[in-house]
Amino acid sequence: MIEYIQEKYLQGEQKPLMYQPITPKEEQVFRYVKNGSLDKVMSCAVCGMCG
Amino acid sequence: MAGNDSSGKQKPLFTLQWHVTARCDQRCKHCYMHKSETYPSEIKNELSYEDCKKIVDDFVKTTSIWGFRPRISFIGGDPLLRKDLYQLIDYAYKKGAQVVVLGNPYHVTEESARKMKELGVCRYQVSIDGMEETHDYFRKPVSFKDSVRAIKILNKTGIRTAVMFTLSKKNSDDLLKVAELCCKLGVYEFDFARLIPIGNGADMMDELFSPAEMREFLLKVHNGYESLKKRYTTKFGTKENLWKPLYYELGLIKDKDIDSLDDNSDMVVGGCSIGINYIPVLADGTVYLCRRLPISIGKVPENSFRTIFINSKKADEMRHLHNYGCSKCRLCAVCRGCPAISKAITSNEFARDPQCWF
Ligand SMILES: C[S@@+](CC[C@H](N)C(=O)[O-])C[C@H]1O[C@@H](n2cnc3c(N)ncnc32)[C@H](O)[C@@H]1O
Ligand code: SF4
Ligand code: SF4
Repeated sequence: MIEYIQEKYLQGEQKPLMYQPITPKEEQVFRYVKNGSLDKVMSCAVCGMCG
Repeated sequence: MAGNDSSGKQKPLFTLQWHVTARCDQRCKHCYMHKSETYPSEIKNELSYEDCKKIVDDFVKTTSIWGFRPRISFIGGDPLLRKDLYQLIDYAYKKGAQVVVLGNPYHVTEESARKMKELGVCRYQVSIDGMEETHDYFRKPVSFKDSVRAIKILNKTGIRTAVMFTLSKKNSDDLLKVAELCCKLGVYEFDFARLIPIGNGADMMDELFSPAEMREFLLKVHNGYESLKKRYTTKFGTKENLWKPLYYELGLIKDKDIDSLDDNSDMVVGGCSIGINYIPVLADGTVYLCRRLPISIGKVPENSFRTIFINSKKADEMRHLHNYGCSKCRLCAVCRGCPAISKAITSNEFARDPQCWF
């Protein structure tokens, strides 16, 4: 439901943005944010250069 | 502070590489944008300012839920050709994003640089693809001189400058010369990226190094950088993933370093940024996983970043190591080569990087 409201807002309806807290799948995808490994590995776009 | 986590440590950055316009006053021989499938729509359906604001809102909010600091790289074409660019920068900065601009030199003047500085732009990147003759061959006459002019103005204004060099056989002999020039000009950071033979660049397949040539080239550049670092303060980026196998061979990355990062979950931890901490948006709102890998995974602002980045099947596939041709390689979790090069050359983004020797 919250995702639905968010999508509607993005489609142009003037409702406030509502967001769910981080989900278990997101926890897994971004686990390296918590364990700090992102700081240690130079990943291609970490520098924000390139394009 | 919004940019710190609860322990006070700075949060890592998540980058939105936002091609706010495809308009450009150059038509470079290697450019991925021209002759691409999306180019006509990017020109015709450039996002409105109102849509852009929604994209900023969604990006800033979503990345903060994920635990990142948002960074927005305004890029093009030439982003300075958008009349509302300053308004957009102002909006993004005030929402809490770190703002950088990757553009052409032509519209960098004392006035535009001052304006960008006032609005919070912390870095401006220009491209230099060789010394004067080579650079102007790829881009257009006077482009080289104008890039040097722009760098001097930006440095004077206090905006950090970065220079990106797109590597092919044609300009490889110039790379260390350009690196030294950047050092002398006081450029903050220099880096290079390999040519991806797509768009205009599709005609340049012959310009790519073989794996053995690539290794030899990187070793030469490594030694060249080490010598420049002794004399200058310019930083040298290492965005090229094939530094990983070279560093491993030179003993600069050790087995224990990889073991400390790879959690054996079959999921990537670094190297190629796809699915990790970067998302590109084209001028018409099309979302890719990398600008150099032309596979659309959705559209903003109609869909949210959260839905696109997390639910995309392609993103999921690309986060799992077993899908890659080099999944058995010791370095796969921290490298993966460049899937964009693999796709351009073999039509398969999971194929082993055709320029990797390891
Ligand atoms: C598309 S341009 C946009 C910013 C600006 N117009 C410029 O040229 O720097 C961003 C970067 O992508 C690089 N680039 C363009 N086409 C490329 C390709 N086919 N392979 C690798 N890099 C490419 C450019 O050289 C530039 O450094
Ligand atoms: S590389 Fe940059 S300057 Fe050259 S045509 Fe492409 S967008 Fe324009
Ligand atoms: S595919 Fe990955 S390594 Fe290649 S340019 Fe894109 S983000 Fe970088």
